[in-house]
Parts: sequence; C-alpha cells; structure tokens
Amino acid sequence: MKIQIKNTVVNNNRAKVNSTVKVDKKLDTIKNIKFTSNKPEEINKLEFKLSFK
Amino acid sequence: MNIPKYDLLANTDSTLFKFESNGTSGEISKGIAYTATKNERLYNLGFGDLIFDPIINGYIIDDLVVSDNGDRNTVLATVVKSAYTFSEKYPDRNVFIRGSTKARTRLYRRAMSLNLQELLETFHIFGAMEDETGGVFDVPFDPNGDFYGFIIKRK
Repeated sequence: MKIQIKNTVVNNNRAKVNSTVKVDKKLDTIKNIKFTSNKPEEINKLEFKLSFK
Repeated sequence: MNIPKYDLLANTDSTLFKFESNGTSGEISKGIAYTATKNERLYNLGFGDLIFDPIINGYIIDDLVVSDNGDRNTVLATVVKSAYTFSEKYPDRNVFIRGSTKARTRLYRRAMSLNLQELLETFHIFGAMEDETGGVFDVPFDPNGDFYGFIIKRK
C-alpha cells in the first residue's frame, strides 16, 4: 500500500513568481529514490550519441 | 519565468527537490529527482507525487499519477525552476527530459516552446531522437518536432 501525502487545506497564495529554493537536510536521508514508471531503467539501456551541434 | 511557482526544498547536493502543490484537490507533495544515467554527464529529470511506501519503508516518486490538481502550469514552472538550480550547481551536467507517457512528452515540448525565448537565455535546448539501432542522438529543438525526449545544456 502506498500513502499519497495529501492534505485538505488549499492555499493557492503559496505560488509566486519569485519562489524560493531552500536546503532541507531531511531530504538528504532519501537515497536512491525509485519511480513508479520504469523510465529510468529504460533510459539506462539507451546509448546516447550526443554531439550538441 | 513570469509564471507563479511553488517554493522548493532541496537536498544538500540539489539532486532532489520537494514542493507542495496546492490546488483543487488540496495539497499534494511533489518530488523532483535528477538521477545519473550511464552517460556520466547526462542526468535524468523525473518528477511526480512524492509518496511514502511502507513496504519499502522509503519514498518513491509516482511519475505516472494524474493528480488533476488544477495547477499544471505552476507545477511545470516549479520543475523548470529546479532545473535552473540544478544546472547552476552543475553546469557540466546535461539534463534529459522525457515524459512518462508520450502525451506528457508532447506537453513538455509545448511548455518549452511557449517559453523558448526565456529558456534560451540560459540553456541550449535539443530534441532527442532514436536511431535505427536504438541509440539516441540530439538534434536542434523544433517547437513542432516529434521527439523521444529533450536535452537541456547550461550555456
């Protein structure tokens, strides 16, 4: 069972043009995060031939 | 980008971001992760709902969910803001972007096209195409192109 983190409080005022980025060291505890899709695994099978021309 | 964005929290190395989407369905935690690929200078951008999975006793990003929270443009602008932060810290790392579905990949192309001038002030943007051997190569971005994904490279 997966628990979606969802509250009922709506606060649209929190979005703003000049939003901030702050470090939260609690996020450092999340390692090797997985995705529900297999996109990362698919991408890792690809051979990228990049020239950036 | 003159679009409202949510405040972001980042881990120390700016590879994982979290924000709260506030919309018609309430508040939903979102995660954005830049993960290494086997190409050492290419990082995959993935995002979706940040979910705690008690089975693995850890967090996962649900990149297939349709949140339908009525704030799509705000969410996308927030993801783009994280790309600015990530690439500012790691200007030599290029970012690969591909939707978890074809429709999402097209949505990202439209979003980039609408904001292309501003994005080009900071990034080189390329389309990614598959060749006949399954390899992926880059071509100049075309707002009308049908791409496998996209690559952004900090100028």
